[in-house]
This record gives sequence, C-alpha cells and structure tokens, in this order.
Amino acid sequence: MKPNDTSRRALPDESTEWVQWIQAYNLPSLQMLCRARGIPVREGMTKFMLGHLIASELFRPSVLRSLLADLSPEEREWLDLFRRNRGVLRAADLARNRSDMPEAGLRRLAVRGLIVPGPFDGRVPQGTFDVTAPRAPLWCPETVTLLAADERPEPELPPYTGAVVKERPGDFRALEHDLMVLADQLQQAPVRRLKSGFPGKRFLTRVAGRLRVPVDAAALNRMETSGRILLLYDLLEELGLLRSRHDRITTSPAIEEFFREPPHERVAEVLEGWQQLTRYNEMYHIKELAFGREFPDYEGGEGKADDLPTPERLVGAREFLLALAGRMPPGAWVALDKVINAAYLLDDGFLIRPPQSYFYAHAPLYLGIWLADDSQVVGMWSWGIERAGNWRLVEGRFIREVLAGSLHAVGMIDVAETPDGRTLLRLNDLGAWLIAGGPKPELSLPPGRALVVQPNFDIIVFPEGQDVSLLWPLLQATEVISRDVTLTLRLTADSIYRASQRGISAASVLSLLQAHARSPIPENVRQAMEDWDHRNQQVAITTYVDLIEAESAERFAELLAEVNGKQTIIRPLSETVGVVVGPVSKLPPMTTLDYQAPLPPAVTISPDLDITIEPAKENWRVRLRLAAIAEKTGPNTFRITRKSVARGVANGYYYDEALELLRLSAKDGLPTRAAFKLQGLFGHHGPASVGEVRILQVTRETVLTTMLEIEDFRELLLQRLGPTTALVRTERMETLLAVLEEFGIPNDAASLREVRLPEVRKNTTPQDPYVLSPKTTRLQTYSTRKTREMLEEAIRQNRRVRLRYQLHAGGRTQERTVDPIDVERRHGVAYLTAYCHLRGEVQVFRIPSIVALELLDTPVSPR
Amino acid sequence: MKLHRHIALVEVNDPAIIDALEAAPGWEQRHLRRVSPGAVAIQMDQVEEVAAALRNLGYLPRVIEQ
Repeated sequence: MKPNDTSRRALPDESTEWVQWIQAYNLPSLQMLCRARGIPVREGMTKFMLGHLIASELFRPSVLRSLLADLSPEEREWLDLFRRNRGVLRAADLARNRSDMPEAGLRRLAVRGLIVPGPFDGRVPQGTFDVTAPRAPLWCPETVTLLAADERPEPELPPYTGAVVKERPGDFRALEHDLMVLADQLQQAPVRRLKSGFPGKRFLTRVAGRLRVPVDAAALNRMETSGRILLLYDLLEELGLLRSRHDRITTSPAIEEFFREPPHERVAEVLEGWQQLTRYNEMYHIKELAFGREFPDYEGGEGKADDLPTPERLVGAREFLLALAGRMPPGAWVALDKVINAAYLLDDGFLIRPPQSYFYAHAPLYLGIWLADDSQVVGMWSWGIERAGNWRLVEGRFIREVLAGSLHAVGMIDVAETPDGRTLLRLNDLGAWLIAGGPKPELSLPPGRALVVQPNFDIIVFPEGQDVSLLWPLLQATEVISRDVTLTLRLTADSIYRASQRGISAASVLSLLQAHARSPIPENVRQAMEDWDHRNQQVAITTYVDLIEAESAERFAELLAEVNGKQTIIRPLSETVGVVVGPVSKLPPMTTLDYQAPLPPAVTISPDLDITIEPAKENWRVRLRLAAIAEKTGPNTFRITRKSVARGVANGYYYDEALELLRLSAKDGLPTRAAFKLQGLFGHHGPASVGEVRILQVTRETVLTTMLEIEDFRELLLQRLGPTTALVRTERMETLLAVLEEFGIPNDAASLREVRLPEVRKNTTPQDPYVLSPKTTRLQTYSTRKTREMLEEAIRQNRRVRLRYQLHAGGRTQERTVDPIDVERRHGVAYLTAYCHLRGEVQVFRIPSIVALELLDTPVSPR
Repeated sequence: MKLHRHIALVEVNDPAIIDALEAAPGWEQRHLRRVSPGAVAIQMDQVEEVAAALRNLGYLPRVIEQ
C-alpha cells in the first residue's frame, strides 16, 4: 500500500506519537497553528486526525513560511542561531552562549515545528537539538533554508558534473514532423470523431509507422492512453489546426499558414500551445499512480471530491515548472531530484492544494489518486495515498513527466541518466532561448541543399531537407512516389490543382524548389509551373457568398451609396448585381432568397394556368418547384388553383417566386391572362395593379421581342400584354423614351395610351394600396416583445399595420404600411414577414428595428 | 431588391473562359447565370461540377471557402 519511495520523508511512525507529544507539551500551540492555517480545531476532532494534520500539512514549506512571518523578533533571533550553526546546537552550548534562550523558548519553537528535537522520545530532551539526526524529520533543514532567504527562497539548481549515460536530446524537428504526419493523414482521410472526442484506433495504426518517434500502435488501446500521439493530436487541436466537418475530423485552413510560418514562430506557438493543453494531462502518464476516474472530467475537479487539478491549475502548474526550468543553467546537466526539491521549497502546492476542509476522515489522503497496484481498490472510503510523505510520489512524478516527458517531447529539454540511474535534465539551445531568455538559435533550413528536381518532374528530397517548412507544401503539391531514406515526389497538373484548393500556389512551390534545389530547376519544369500558376490565377470560385440583385441600375447605385460608407459592404459586379463582402446585417431589409439557378424552359402554360411539363430528366428542378404551388393533375401536368396557392403560401411560397418560376420555365412565355389569374389567386397587390400605367404599342411583333431581349428595356417594361403591346409604368415613361432614342427606335410619345389596370380581385378595398390610412391614430413605440405580440395579434385579427422601420442601426427610419403574414424567430432574432405596400413585394422586417407601430382597422387582403 | 444567400461565384480574368464554359458540351442544361462578363453565379451543389468542367478546359480554378 505504501510506496517504495526513497524520497519519502521520515515522519514519526504513527500519528499517535504526535498526539502524545502534543498532549504532553503544548496543545494550545497547536490550536494557534491551526488558527494560522485557518483550520478549525473543535472538540470531537479525533486524535487520529490531529496526528495526520500535523504530519501531512503543518510542516510543508508553504506552512512554515507563513509561520515564520508570524515570529516575534526574539523567536526569529533564536532560529537564526540555529541557521548559523547549520541546524545543530547543543543545549549546553546554548546555555553557555545564549543564557537568554530559555528552555521554554526552545519548546515553543519545537511545538511550532520550526525545530524538532533529536532522537524522538516523546518529550523535549535536555541534550542535543540535532536536526540532522537520523530520526529527525526533514523539515527542519528546510526551515533553515527558508530562514536563509529574507522573503522568497531561491533554491539552487547546481550543475551535475559527473558521468552521463543514455543521452536523449530533445528534438523539435521530430515533433513538428510527427505533427505534420498526423495533419497530413487527417487531411487526406478525415476520420470520424469518437464519443471521447478522439479519432479511433484505425487512425492510430495508419499513422504509427510514419512517425519519426515510433509508436507501437498494436499496444495502444485508445487515443487517451497513447501518450505522445495524444500530445500531438491535442497540440493540433489547441493550435486551431483541426476542425470538424460532417462529424469528421480534418485539418483547418490555418494549417497551411502554420507550416509555412518561420520556424521560430512555430516553435514558440507549440510551446505556448502545450502550456494551454487541458485534455492532455501529464498526471495520467505517471505509471505509479491510478486515478479515480477512468478519464478526466474537469467539470468536477478542485473543490469537489478529488484532487485532480482543474484545467486552470494544470496550466498554472506548467507555467510554474517552466519558470523553474528557466533557472537551470543553460547547457549544463541538472539532476531531476534537485529540480523537484527546488519546486517543493518554492511552492509545494503548485499542483494540488492542501485540503480546505478537515471534517472528513479522508482529509489526510490524496483524493481520487491511488497507487497503480491498488487500482482495483476504488471508492470514497478506500485507502488512498497519504498526503504525508508522498509529495514526491505525486507532485514529484508530475514534475518528471512535464520536464523529462512533455518538454523533452517538444524539444526544449535534453534528458540523460547518471550511471546509477538518476535522471538528468539539460536546457538545450531551443529551451535556453524560449524558457531562459537565451540567444535565438538557428532553425532555418540552409538553402540549396535539400532536393533535386529532375526533368521528368520528379523531386528527390534528401534526409537533411526533410523539414516541415519544406515538406508540408511539397506534400500538398506533389504525389508521393516512394518513401525511403530519400523521399521521391512528383509534380503533376493535378497535384498542383489540389494544392491550389489548399491555398498553395504553383508560384510559391516553384520559389520553394528554387530556394532548396541543389541544381537549377529544369527549364521544362519551370515553364510548366509558370503556366499552371497562370491558369490558376485566372479562375476563382468563391463559395457561400451572398449576391445582391437590384431591379434597376438606379436602385443599385442608391444602395451602394447608402451602404458603402467607410466600409465596403457590397462589391459591384455589374450595374445591378453585387457581392456582399461585409456583414449582411448592414444591408437594408430586402427579400431574401435561397439562390436557385435559372430554370430550363420546360413547360407550356395555358391561359387558365394548366401546365404541361416535358418529361425530360433535367427538368426535375422545375417539377419540384411547381409541385410547391400547383396540383398534380397527371404524370406531366399541373394546375395552379386557389387551394394549391394557399398551400404554397402556407409553406412560404409567394407571388414573386411563383411568377418568376412560370416566367423562366415557360417555353412560349407566360400568357397575359395566366399572369393576371396568378395575381388574382395570390391576391397580389404588386406593382402591376398599382397606380397608373401606360400601354406601349409597337408596329411589329419583332420590335417588342427584340426590346424584351435588351436588359435596359426589360427593366422598364412591366409586362408584355400581347404581340405588340406591353405595360409601362407612367413614372418610367421618360426613361423609356430616352432609351428608345438611344437605341434609335422612332417613337411617338403621344401614342402611348394612359390606362388603368382592371381590378382583378373581387374583395379588394377601394383604397389605393399606396395611400396610407388616414392618420387618426399615432404611431407608438413599444418594447420588442410587445411589438412582436402586437404583430401576432394583427395576424390573428387580419389587420393591416403601419410601422416606422429603421433601415439600419443608427440610420434613418421609414414609414411603411404592411400586411403582416408571419412572425418567426431565427438565430434568436424575431422577424416579420409581410407584404409591404411601399415596395410592392413581400419583405422581411427585423422586429427589433421596428421603432413604432400601430394596428390599423383596415383588413388585409385575403391571401 | 433581392438578396440571394449562399451561392457560389465563379470569377475569371478573361470572359472568354466563361464563354468556353458555357459552350462546353452538356452545359446548356446547367443554366449558369452570368451576372457580369467575368462572373457566373452557380448553386453551391454545382461547385464541384463547375470546377471539374473548368479543369477539363485546362484551367486550375481556385476554390475559396468564405
């Protein structure tokens, strides 16, 4: 049960001895100590507990330090006497030299634990006070050391000068090579993420053979127990180089930048990343220990029922040990046990804090930590490891795992042994630079030595050139032909194309090859790569962009002027189309559509909205969209009815989209009667039924057909009525006449007849939709929640709403009259979908941007 | 005014590339929408198809993820 640990402190055999001692001499002093430590001493506190309390807690350096701070000047002087005499004083000498130091004073110091009498016999002896006596506890020399410093002791880390065997230099290049192998594998074949968050064992077996530091994949059960691979994997995650896509783990775009940045920056990033790791915990690699939980769940941690360090504490412990490693003399070997001693003296609670409560019987134990041999004994009440004397087993081994494990793995520390098996550590150049602030070592690959490019597009990379800053881009941009002592790669157009998808251009690969090749790049290879680069630069496909489409160039220009202020929000592509490059929230409210590619002309539409679709395979998209607003009357026939329209509207299919669908997919155009009927079915108040329009009459059918093919005219003409007639909005007449003149088409403005459109709805209100309701009531401001409730009420009561809407944050407001259709919440923001009478189309309004509103008595049109 | 969300945009230096793309066999069915002489809007699910077609035409299109 008890560890066979030579570093274990020689404490009194059993706590009962301590209790007797305390009882015999000065229990009130113990109470004083407990008060100083904030530990409540109450009746009923068992002797057993008191003994453990003394043994495990009170004499740790951190406690001693706080006790020293409370000493009176007289007591301090007496202790100083001990320090000058290296902790050994004879009572007789004391009596001779310092008659002012009575026995009672010695006893006070002894009870405080600052000195301990020699051979322990249960009473303060009259003979020798010898802290180096075999039975004397070890804390007294530490007290002496503590006294040696005024405030914070600076423990020495003396260099080891003896023989050194089994030297293992820290190798950062091996680490980054293995990081690259893992990343490359995850990029080539994304793997499924298990419940634990790691990839499965198959992944381990795939990469194990390619690692510079080999891993016995067959011996690994899980990623969690895989030590170095887990360190590599967690480093990739911590550095933001991985991401999940469709439940699979792959590399993130940041990986390219990471492997291409200067090596010094990469080294610093890795060290910083390691320090922040929380899932990778060196404690779990201490072979001698087992833990209460199979795998850490840091939601518990400190303050709960175990001593496993919280993530913050783990990160803090690494920081503490980095600072400690920084005290090691660069380039010299230092014994690990000296480093552990120094850590103990500096801050013995750097990893696991002493228990904050002594009301439980298990307080003297490390909670949740067992000896590996006793790992089958688990549970709250089982015996764990005593805190007393096991600091070097728990915290000490953690220090070993960090310094000789992780920091060695990340290439900062070299590890070796003495002939008698003690572990030695040494800060190498990289560690001396990053940890101890030494000079910056040379890390860059020397140019002109790493590879040879052959005229057949093969690249041979020599061992000295197999560095990630060169290998990573090359592996992305080539195909691997063979892996041996030398690595043979091949450049192809396909491999360059693949690399371009990852942001690596052919030009950058060429310059890399030119920098590292032993001989000039063959002319045919150079020319081919320049050509590939040219072809790569010519075409770019940008995914997930938002496109703005305005109905006219004027509207688009207005929009650009409105939104493109200090920041460019829209990058124009043409006079009416632009790409949104800024936040969409900066745009004014507008109809939002999921983009659909233009439809093939596939249907024939009768004036009564009977639709026949050609049974071709590529018409599936039209068929799908038609099904949303039409009833199927046969295998290839549909009919749009009031009922089918109602169903479509309920599913968010509005007039605009229906009209666009029919217009784009009709082989012979949309018959005028069918267009009017569609308006009637949707109860649409769109522009076609609004205000004054004029009929454009041309002499020949071909003239109008040609005009409709020209975009400028198409925007101005509202709708084609017949072979030679079309509708034009009155307010656009001047523009139309100007365009006609520009295109050299003779015109006679007087021949343009002014008409009013026939009313197509039976239940329309006599009011012109553009004329706002009489302002008998005032717009009022409500809270967002109230606004939403009022809008929902308006929908229930079928009432029209007048509102004032803020076009964009802090911007101007505009008054609108709308027929509310639906209120919905998306991404935590409520939106109103309504037919806007000002714009003549269904629009979506952000409810928090509605600054005031009123419910009108006017009913909305039936929909 | 309409906002088309989540589309893919093919942009080229030379409009002739899009002409060639549109003239490629089988592409009349795709109904690419040309939004400017040098840009074509496509649906997200057409990206791979369009990239492959451009690749067949001898170009090495860069696919930039927003």
